[in-house]
Amino acid sequence: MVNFRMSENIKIAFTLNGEVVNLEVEPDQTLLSALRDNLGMTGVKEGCSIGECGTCTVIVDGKATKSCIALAAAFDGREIVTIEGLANGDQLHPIQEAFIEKNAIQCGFCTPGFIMSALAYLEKHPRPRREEIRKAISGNLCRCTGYEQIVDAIEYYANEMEEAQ
Amino acid sequence: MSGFEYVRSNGIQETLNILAKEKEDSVLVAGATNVMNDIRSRKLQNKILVDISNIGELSGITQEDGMIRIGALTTVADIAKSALLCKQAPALYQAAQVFADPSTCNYATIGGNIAHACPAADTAPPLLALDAEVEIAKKGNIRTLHINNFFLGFYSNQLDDDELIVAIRFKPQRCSAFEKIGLRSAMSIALLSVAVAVEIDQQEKVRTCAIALGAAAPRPVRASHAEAVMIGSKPTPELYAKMAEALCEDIAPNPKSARASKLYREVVGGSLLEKVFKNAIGSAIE
Repeated sequence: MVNFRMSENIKIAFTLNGEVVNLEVEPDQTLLSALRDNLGMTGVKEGCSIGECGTCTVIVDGKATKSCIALAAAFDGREIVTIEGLANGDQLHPIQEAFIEKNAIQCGFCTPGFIMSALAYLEKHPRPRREEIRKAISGNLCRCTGYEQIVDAIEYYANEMEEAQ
Repeated sequence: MSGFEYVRSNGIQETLNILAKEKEDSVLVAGATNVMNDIRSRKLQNKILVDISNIGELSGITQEDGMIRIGALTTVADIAKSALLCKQAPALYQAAQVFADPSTCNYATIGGNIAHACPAADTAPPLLALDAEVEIAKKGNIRTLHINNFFLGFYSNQLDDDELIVAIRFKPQRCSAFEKIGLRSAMSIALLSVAVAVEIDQQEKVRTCAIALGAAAPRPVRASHAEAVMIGSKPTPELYAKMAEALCEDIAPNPKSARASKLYREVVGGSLLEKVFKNAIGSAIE
């Protein structure tokens, strides 16, 4: 009979999609669970739960982050962006429009992860080659469309941004 | 009830004090990429999770007194974009390029990768080939261990419960290279990986040579049989063939290894090693 420790919840605060949120998490809770279960961010998807498929990807302090293998308690004070933080009211983010435009969505389950991985990369590399886009999304799996349309969409968005400048 | 506790440590001394007190009840958490999976699979239960991810003094790549020093919390992403390592330790730099996808590399640390002691750990063969030393601290004491003595066996290492990896050090070795074989190009766990560090003398003979393998045995290993063939000789197609033959003596995976058989690793190992060996020599010419 194992004598289990009395777990105490941890109080943390971080910026979520531009707003400071306070929450209590369990000591071993994943960031994924904190975002979905405590904060209702169900656009952050749970796929493999072991860091292989990337559908849970969010952006933390500018870095693509697999929230299923991240310890929530460690994210006190960080700045987190999820797919919910992209649209402006009813106005979709241009990368979301690009995914629609290029038919880069079939079932849609992997889409938030692809978009967050792509945005984190493009933030630092605004003029990516196709091969670099592939590497940036190499931790994201799609089981429906294949990857061509997804790479097309990211490339299309990057070009649009470039032209807008 | 999860049975876990969480404590955030903000410095090395604070961490060593916690470890000295809690010993086997504690588990260090840095990037968490392995720890979270071990919690999920219940390999870890009822532990105090000691979060060291914010300790700045454990992170960074520096060169002093002819040695390169990499802090234990340095991420694989940092290694993958280090101009110093690209030039002075290509084997480690190349391993970081193929380690995993960017989001995993943003969190995975070099200290965590060796502490986890997976036989297929991608940073292990380069560090073995570079004759790296591991700086290990505990309360009131620091010791240095050669990386080859650090790995004990299947997912096991020499670290005591109250010890912390502080840094990894090695001499620059321009003539070094790494490559791995996986089932796909992204996010793959090595079926076999090879790192080589070599010095060629003026007669084009191999003066020193270190060959290390990942996923070839229950722990990352040096390929001493293959090394012995090369030292003192000039590389030729015949010598490479002998090296490949000798390499079979160095490949001794767990027979239950699910990812590939011993035979498969022997067959691909020879040509993989020859390729990496030539790359290591080639980086001298560039």
